[in-house]
Amino acid sequence: MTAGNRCRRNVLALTVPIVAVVVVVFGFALDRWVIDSGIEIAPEPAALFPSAPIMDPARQSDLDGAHFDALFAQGIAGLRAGKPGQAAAAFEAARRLGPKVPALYVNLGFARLALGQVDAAVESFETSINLRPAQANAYFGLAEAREQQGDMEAALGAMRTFVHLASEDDRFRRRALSAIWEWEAALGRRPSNGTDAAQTETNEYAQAKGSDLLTAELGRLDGGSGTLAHFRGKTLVLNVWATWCAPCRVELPSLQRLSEKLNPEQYAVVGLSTDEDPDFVREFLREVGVAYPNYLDPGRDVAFGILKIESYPQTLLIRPDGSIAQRIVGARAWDEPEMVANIESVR
Amino acid sequence: MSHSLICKLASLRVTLTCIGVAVAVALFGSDGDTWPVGAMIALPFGALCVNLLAALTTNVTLRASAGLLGFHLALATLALLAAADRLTGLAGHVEVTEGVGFDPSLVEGDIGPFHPWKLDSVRFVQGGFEIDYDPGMKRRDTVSKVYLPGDGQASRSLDVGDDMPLVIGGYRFYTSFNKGFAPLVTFTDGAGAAHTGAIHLPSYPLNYFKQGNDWTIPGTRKAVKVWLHLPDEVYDEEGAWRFRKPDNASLVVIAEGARRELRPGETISLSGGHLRYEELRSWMGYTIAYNTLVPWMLATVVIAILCLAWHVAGKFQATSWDGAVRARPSQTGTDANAERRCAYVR
Repeated sequence: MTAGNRCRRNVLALTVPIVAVVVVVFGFALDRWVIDSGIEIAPEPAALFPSAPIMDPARQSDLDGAHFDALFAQGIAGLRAGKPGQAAAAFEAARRLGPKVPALYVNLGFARLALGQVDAAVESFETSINLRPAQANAYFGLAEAREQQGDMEAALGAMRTFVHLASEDDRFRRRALSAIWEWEAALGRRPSNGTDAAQTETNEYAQAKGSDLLTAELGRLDGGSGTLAHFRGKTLVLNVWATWCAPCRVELPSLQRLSEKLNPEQYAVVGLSTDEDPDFVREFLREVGVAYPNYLDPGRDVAFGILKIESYPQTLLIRPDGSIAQRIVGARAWDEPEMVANIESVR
Repeated sequence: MSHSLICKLASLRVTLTCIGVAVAVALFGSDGDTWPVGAMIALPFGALCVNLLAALTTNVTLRASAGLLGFHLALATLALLAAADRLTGLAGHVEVTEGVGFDPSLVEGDIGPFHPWKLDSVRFVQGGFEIDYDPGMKRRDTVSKVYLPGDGQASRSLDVGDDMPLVIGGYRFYTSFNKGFAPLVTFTDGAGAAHTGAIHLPSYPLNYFKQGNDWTIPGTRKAVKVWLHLPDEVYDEEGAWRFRKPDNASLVVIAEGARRELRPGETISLSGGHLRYEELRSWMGYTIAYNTLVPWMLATVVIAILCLAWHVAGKFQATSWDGAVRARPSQTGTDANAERRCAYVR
């Protein structure tokens, strides 16, 4: 072995302890003198000190919107990516932030169903339905879960309810009708004349639903429900909005001014909020001084299903017969003379 | 441990797999109840450390110079420290009401499975805070006052902020953008028992349009909704302004089908008791970090860089710059590579 090799071997043998020592010493120095130490306080094991009033904070789920949305989106992405475990974990975390969101329970139910946790899935779907009886996809999930449990009667009932509630273009509708056909056959109830009872029922529903926007059931701000039927014969300025939508909030005062400018015998400005809580919408409108009538569509059944809204805000000019004359996307200064003239031109 | 197993552990494929898994967990991992994303990343980091140590054992090239050896040792140490940090760390958040003590049970976030939970010994009471905004709703510095236990009955106050954390027992409390109003209410039931609570309203001014929340009266199933009515705007979207509690705000209470508006000190009757609106307070949101290994990780990174520089400098000096590159005959060629690839010495 040459002297050079011996020397190199010695250096290499020393490298390990040198690196270890330098990491420890350098790290300690950084910790002590370089890294921002903030205001360092020793932990205090003593009882709470009495210098300030200590009260139990009754912390409520102050729905951290952004965090909830992120978790919810994460869950949806997990479901789409075929990762129900991840999806369920994300929905569970979101549930802790927003326990009263029906759609959350539906998706949690589907994730649990994919994981084979059928009983838990049933519980999720039923929670969603309890929160919002018109949550169509919850019935679809419940039907599938009940079928897996072998409870065909319950499955059939839930799937029929889904068909009643789902919009005409719901992509699960065909599957639902097939399932109803199969399950009725399995139960020996398929009509002998070959008529698909579920299909007939659905067509009747579709005709009723497509007949007129003015007959669609909407939530009222006082907590009840109603329709726009009493506006028949007037030109409607129907503004679809939500409190969380910033452009929507911007145009509300101009809509209020517009409602004061238009002839109430011939025109009506009506708001359709897709928020969940009527009380908070009512308080918000009171805060911003909006007095024209507002309705709620928390399930977006009317906004997305009938009106085909894809973005907020969107305002529809509706003729006295209920047909849509114009669709205006985005916020506007509604009390500008051109806008008023445009609205007054709708007959 | 057999030679072949160590050779397998030392492969570049294992290195890339570890890095790939770590990236995948970071991008697509979701929080579980017991193993949050941070802790799950510890697994590929730990495996990377083993992989690097195995490579150092089997690959002569990595030990060819002290600089290269030091660099890889530092990388292995860094992977080990990162894994340990993720397993023992905490990245959480909490909201603390003005005039109320910090409650560790309200902390949420990523908590490593081997985190030494010491938050129960953290004591401070939230005071008021000041936040200035520049025109355009640009938040400037936050100065949040906290009260700490002093000698005897006395307490002392400190100002903490976004860049000046309160450090207690290794936990670093930073103020966050999250803050808002918290009406303080007291429900007195029929037996005369009083329950006082602060209802945290959504973050302000981020959610200025929804200053409301649900509240379940403690000890009952009675749910009420509250809304903070702000007659005047607290914020100024165009100009500079300072976060403040409004003087003339009132609390709207929606319960039992009725809407009542209360000023501080006013009481309403509900079935089963009385609800009194005490006053309006604020709440401050803190992010909490517990990463005691960060200085050592930083030190390791610096050492890795220095070792790599040493190695490169050595190669630079050994290079002939007159057009030809000197090569070491013993370390070139396919046979030498094959020999180096797994020259494990028992």
